[in-house]
Amino acid sequence: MLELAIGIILGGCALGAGCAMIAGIGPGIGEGNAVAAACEAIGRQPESRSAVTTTMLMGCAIAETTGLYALVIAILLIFVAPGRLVNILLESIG
Amino acid sequence: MKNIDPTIKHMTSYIALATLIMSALMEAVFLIIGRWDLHVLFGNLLGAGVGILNFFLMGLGLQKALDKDEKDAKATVTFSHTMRFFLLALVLILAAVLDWFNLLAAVISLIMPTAAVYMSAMVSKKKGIQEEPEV
Repeated sequence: MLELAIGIILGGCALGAGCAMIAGIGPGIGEGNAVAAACEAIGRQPESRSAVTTTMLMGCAIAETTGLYALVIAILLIFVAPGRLVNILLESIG
Repeated sequence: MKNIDPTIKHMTSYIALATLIMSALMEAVFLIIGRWDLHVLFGNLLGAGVGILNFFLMGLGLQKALDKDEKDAKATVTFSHTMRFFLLALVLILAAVLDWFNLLAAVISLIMPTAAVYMSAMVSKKKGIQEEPEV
């Protein structure tokens, strides 16, 4: 029974980490679209390159935040949460 | 270093400065709550260093992508993002697995450059609002 409980904890953590990493896909696609649009804008108005680069850099950095949060949650779920949850389980059993 | 866009250099130096200030604040908070030790400092150094490096590499990737056509630019940025994501994952795994680094300090430090970008965006927006009536 204890093995089953530990297995459920480990499986749940791995599943949660996998679900969290879905959020890591979005920023890559979003950044790609932003840069494609920036290329088009610079192609139309080459003199606005500096302004477009600054705005795009800030936009991409902000867009990446969700991916970073997802990564942090996934790493915590894989490396930190299982140990603590198993400890809590063992303490509650006594 | 000569080929780097001045905008990227300027932004990276701003982010580095803001991260440095926020790191000092974080260390002070850890000291005040009595949880400061060398592991916090190492975690802070690792997280902040990689956070700034990540921003700089993102700038380089974007600069490279801007010189290409739309399709290639998309591919270049997606590749750059994936590689930087692996770098961040590696750093977080190191911080989680090795006892030398405080994980909390590393995670907070890794998010600091983003916080600096948010602050920069807010400041520039505020400036824009203040300057608008004059125009």
